[in-house]
Amino acid sequence: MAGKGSFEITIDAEGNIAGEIKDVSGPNCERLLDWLNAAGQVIVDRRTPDYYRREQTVDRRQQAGGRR
Amino acid sequence: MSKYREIKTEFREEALLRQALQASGVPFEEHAAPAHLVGYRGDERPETAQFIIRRHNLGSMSNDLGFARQEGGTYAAIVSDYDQYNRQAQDRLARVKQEYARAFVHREARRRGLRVTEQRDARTGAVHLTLRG
Repeated sequence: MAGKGSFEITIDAEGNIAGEIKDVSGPNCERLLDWLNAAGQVIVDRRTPDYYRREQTVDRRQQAGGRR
Repeated sequence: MSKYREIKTEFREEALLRQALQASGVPFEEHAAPAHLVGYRGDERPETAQFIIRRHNLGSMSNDLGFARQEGGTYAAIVSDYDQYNRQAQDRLARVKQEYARAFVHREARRRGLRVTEQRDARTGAVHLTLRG
């Protein structure tokens, strides 16, 4: 991962892993956590609200630009 | 933050399991051919495993805790019925799994050229790692 983005990983006391991508927006981050899958069984995989917020912001800007 | 994933850790790699057992600080045996586990009375049990934590490292009433290779090369923890409810045995197993996950994350970070900062939460026992390029 280049630039300012980062992975935030938490390993709980039971040894299970939670991973988040921070500061990487939109579809670019879709597959950046795939390497974690080799550690075991994926039990949660979701986009966070921030993902959708950023996508909607882009969409509104594109729509506004299109009307000019 | 825009993507979140949770993984239930499994012992999929022998080298990482060995590293995790070493890091957990509990004495263990490694057997090229699977060896029998021993029960709390000193009785040989039918279950076998390649990696074994002997019962005297787990508590006076514990049975051996084993890690047995499965088809496909993964390892399953062999825990007796009694030790399913034995805090000390469960804590040992959880620590091995946590060390396995740590070893996995550190190795993958190295492979990707990422820098790792790590903090342990003394209250919850969780380990927090930040990986940056």
